[in-house]
Amino acid sequence: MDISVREMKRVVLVGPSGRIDHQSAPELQKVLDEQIAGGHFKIVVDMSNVTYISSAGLRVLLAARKGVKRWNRGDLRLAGVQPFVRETLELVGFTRIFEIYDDTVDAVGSF
Amino acid sequence: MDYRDAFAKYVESQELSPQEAADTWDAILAFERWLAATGQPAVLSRTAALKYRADLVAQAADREDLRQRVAPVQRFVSWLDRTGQAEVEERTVQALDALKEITTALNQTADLQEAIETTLRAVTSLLGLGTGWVFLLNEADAFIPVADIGLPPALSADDRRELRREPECECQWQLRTGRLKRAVNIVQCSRLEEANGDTAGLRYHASIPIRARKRTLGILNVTGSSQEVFSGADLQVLGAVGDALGMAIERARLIDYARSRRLREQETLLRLSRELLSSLDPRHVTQLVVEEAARIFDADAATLALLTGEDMMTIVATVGWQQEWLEGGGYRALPGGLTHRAYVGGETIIEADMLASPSGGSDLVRAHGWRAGVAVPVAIRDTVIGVLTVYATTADHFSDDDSRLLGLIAAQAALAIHNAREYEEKAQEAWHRNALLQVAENIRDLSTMQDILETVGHLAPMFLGATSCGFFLWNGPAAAFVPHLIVGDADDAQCRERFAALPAAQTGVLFDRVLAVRQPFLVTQPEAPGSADVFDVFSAKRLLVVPLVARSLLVGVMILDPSSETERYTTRLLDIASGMGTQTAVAIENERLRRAEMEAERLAQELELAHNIQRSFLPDQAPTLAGWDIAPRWEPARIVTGDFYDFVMQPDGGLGVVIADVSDKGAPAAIFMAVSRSLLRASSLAYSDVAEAIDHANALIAADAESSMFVTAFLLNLDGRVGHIDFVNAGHNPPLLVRADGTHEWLGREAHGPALGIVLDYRWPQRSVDLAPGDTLVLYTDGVTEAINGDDEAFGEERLAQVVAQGRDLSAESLASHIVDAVAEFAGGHPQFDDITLVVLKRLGE
Repeated sequence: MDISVREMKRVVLVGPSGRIDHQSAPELQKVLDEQIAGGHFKIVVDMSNVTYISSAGLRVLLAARKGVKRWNRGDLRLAGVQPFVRETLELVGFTRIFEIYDDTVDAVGSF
Repeated sequence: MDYRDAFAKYVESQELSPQEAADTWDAILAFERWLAATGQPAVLSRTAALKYRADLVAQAADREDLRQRVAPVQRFVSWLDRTGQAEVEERTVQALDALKEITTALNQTADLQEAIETTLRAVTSLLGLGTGWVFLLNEADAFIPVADIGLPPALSADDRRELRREPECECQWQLRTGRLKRAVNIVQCSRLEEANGDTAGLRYHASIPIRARKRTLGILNVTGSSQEVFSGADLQVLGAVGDALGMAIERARLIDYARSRRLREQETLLRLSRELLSSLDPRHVTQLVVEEAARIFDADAATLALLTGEDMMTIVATVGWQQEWLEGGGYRALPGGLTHRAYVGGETIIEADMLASPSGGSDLVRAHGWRAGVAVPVAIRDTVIGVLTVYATTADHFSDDDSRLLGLIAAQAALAIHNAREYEEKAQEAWHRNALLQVAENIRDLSTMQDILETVGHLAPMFLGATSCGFFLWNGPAAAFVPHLIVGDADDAQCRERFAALPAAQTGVLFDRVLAVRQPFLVTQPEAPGSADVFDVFSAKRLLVVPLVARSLLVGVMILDPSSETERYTTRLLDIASGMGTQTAVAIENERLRRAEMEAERLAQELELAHNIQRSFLPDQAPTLAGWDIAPRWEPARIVTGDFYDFVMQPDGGLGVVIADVSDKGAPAAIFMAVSRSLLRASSLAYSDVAEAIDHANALIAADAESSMFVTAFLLNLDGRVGHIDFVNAGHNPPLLVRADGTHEWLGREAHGPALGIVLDYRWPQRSVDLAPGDTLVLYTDGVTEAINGDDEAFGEERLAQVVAQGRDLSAESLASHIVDAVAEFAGGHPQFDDITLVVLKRLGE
């Protein structure tokens, strides 16, 4: 899985692509863990290139969100979620806990 | 002599006219032709035959065509009778017959004594002589009586003392002085005259020289008691007998010589081959070959050159070389020289006189004064491996026979050298194999790296001619070798101390080379700057460095201090070291793999156990509910899964059904699943209201959600009697309801709440649906709808709806199988990606 990482002034933009399933989820987890370990706690995950997310992928997002939430004002927000993926997020109730933005500019600006 | 001579005399003495003579001759010829027709031509050609054929003449007279001609023939025959011509002729014929018989007999024997005795017997009996004896000249040129027949007592007495008596007699004297050139009458035989005793009236004899190719061999003497002086014709015949005998003797001698020579050759070869084959040391074999070759041919020098490199004939053994030519060693056969030419041509070369050759011989040849030489190729099968050369300081020293024998010796030598080389190779190989086998056997059952290294550390110095063996293990991350263990002379505490004192990270030229070559090598201190302390540990100037590499994985390096004696066989040393290094590394690597394998097996066993535990959590059978057909299906993608289903019989008679999917897979998910299942089960038993049960379960799950796990769940409560269902969806895939008419709907697609474990304090909406007879409800996990095919397409809800609608008349069990099959068919060769869990509920028709 290709995962792009862009460190901006205050926010890190992580961009996975393709399917986030139980095989690729650990890769995303590694990238997110590294960012959090490196003291980045404002993270935007660009979901515009994600075609599918499994429960394992959801768990990674949930765990990362928990990680950044330990910091005051820390958060992990989602941007550009595709309809199919949004369905999944809605189904399991993620839309209730994650802030989701239409595009990355909005998401980054939200911090 | 034939009857032409007699006829001439007859014509002369009877004064026949030419006409008469011609008529008579014609008659004789006609007679002869007739006789020839009767088949007696051999006798006819002789004068004497006419006499014996007188009766034939009489027969001929009866024949019309011969009658007129018989008279002159008869007249000729009676003249022959009258004048005694026939007797003379007869003697001659007898002599010729004797000669023929003697020659035939002689041709049939190869034995010298037998030849002489046969001759004597034939000559005396056929010529009616009675007595004869033969002197032969021996190697010392003395006359030796070798055979006799019918000797008078005076000569035979006292073991033929008279015949042996010196001085030489008349005939012997004549022979020795060259006067006895043909058969002659010895009218005064001194032996017969001077002999004491009965000479049986013998006074003289004929002496016939026995010669062969102008060489004088001896004398044949014959006589008879009634014998007068031998006629010229007799002597002529006897001369021929002498010549035949001479030839026979010569041939017998030659055969005898050839036989004894062959015997000698065979003995020589047998002895040589026994000696050669009893030695398995190539150096000894080669030396023996040249020494024996020189001795057998009475040669002044001998050389054995063997092929040592590409077209290089190196002298490996010599005899008869001057010291200064031997100094320096490694002497090679010169191109153009005798040895080299035999090698290039692959055949024997014989030189009668090298000094007389155009080149005058090489410096080596001239320096030694060698003149004659023979060089024969030493070949195994058709491959020339060397050349055996013998030299003599006299020209023409070697005959063709010699070169042939030398060829046989060379063949023996080739065999012996081949055997010795093969033996040496085999011995080395056996030793080598034994060394490696010992190491292999000793480390086979060892279970720790420490044990392996200690065992190899004790064995390796033994086989590699060293006293100590140190191990340095490769530390990949640190890119250095770490001193680990030294084994060897136990008393050498100093050596251990110095080893223990080595810096923990060993680098430098020596260790760089280990990384680069990964093969054993020998290294001296000047070649390995920076590793002086390592050399100090071993107190050695030269070290054997053996990388431990298994399957291209570098484990470490073994360093030993081979003794200076090992310098003679460094190739073998490195070979064995290479084998040992690999064995050790493989043993260590195997040990490591064995541990990993054990670990994997342990894990597999634990997972199997976890699977069985999980399995035991799930109800084996669907509950029996009147009017309902219910079937669960649980197909984990891996041994443990996060999916589960459950049936809970409510106290009020309702049936609680749960399907759930824990986020993530594997062991952590399995544990979370077990917890979730217990909580859901407990909650649904505690609360008949499904919404309350979910709230309760979520509170408990979310309270302990450190791991960020969550579980999607669909919980329903069925009143089987009326087909009423209350349900709550906590983030789970909406179940599919297919009505009896084939239409379908999804339960809880809109009305649902988040998965359990994500949020606290949430009120999940509860909904209801009623199932009529023939309706089918399918609960499933995302493994069904999200199964993908080769084109990355998902199975999807629409396809699921179609499959279920299609199979809605099947039993619950069959429908479950139908769905699983459809998913598998859709995925094609794709491995099952996710767990598939189903619960099929069918309300039976009335």
